[in-house]
Amino acid sequence: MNYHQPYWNPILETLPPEALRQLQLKKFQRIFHWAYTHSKFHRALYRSAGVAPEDIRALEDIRRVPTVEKSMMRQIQGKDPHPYGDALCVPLDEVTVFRQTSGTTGQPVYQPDTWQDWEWWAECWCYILWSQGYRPSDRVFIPFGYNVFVAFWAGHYAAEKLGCEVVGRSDDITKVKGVLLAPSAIEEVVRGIKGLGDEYEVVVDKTGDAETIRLRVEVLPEAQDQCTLIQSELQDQLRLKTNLRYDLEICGCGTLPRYEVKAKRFKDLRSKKTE
Amino acid sequence: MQPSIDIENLNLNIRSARKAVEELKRLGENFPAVARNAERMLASLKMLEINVSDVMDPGGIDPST
Repeated sequence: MNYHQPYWNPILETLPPEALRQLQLKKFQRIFHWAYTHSKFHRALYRSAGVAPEDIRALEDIRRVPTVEKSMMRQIQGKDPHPYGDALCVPLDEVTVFRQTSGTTGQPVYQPDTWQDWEWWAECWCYILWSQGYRPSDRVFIPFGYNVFVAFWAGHYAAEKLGCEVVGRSDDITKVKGVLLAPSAIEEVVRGIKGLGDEYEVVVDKTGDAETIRLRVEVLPEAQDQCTLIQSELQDQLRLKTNLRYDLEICGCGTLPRYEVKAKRFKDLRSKKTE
Repeated sequence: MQPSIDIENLNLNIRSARKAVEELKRLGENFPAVARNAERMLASLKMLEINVSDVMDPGGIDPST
């Protein structure tokens, strides 16, 4: 392979503008037709706007297509097919990856993807990385959380696809009771249990020689009568995923603090006591 | 100057590969190790089609695939 080739795709990246626009139109028609015919949510949205696949004849027609807002996705998730609702454009068994938005501005938005979706995400990043000069002989370090948050994974996979050596996670893993603990693992467990809200708070502390982990979570109003069951499932899942035991506190919805910026939900009080 | 690229030959080989892998997937109906690897190969083939075949013949893009 020619490492000096400046383009990841020398055909597409040097296409004359008119041919590029023609291609963009065809691709939009394809994806719009797919969403319209495979997703109840999208079909209903487009019908309410009075636009159907055969109406998209030129790029200008795209203005007629309504956008999908995050709030819409939050409304449908949790419904059947659980947990994505009817926005899915493929059968549920074709979903191979679950990720979600960060939850910075509210309830995280779930993102189900197929294997092909991730091939495509990585492909998009390959264009970027190749144009920036990354080549198979490079070693790449991407300093992100490697958790359920959707961002940057495509960059990781793209670097692998390019043939780079990708150096993995080096983050906020800490040792508690002699066991390595990734705070993101707690988040994944909490947000995977039906009946719990997305907010939580973890406090690691030390009394004498004994280390403790206190986890506070919020139960949703509709699940108030299932607290015992939820607590049991939470403890089981936490032990399975982190190999640690927690002091759990189930709080009412709205009890825990909300953050407008990236939440600081993990507090380690041990270091303060030794300072 | 960019070296010339034989896009027609690329496209012919991509189409040929898709036929072969779709046949593999069909033959692997009772052989998960074949079927699932063929499925992953189809996802990679889709990237080749996006990168090459679609560009060569945008009029030929099937809206249902």
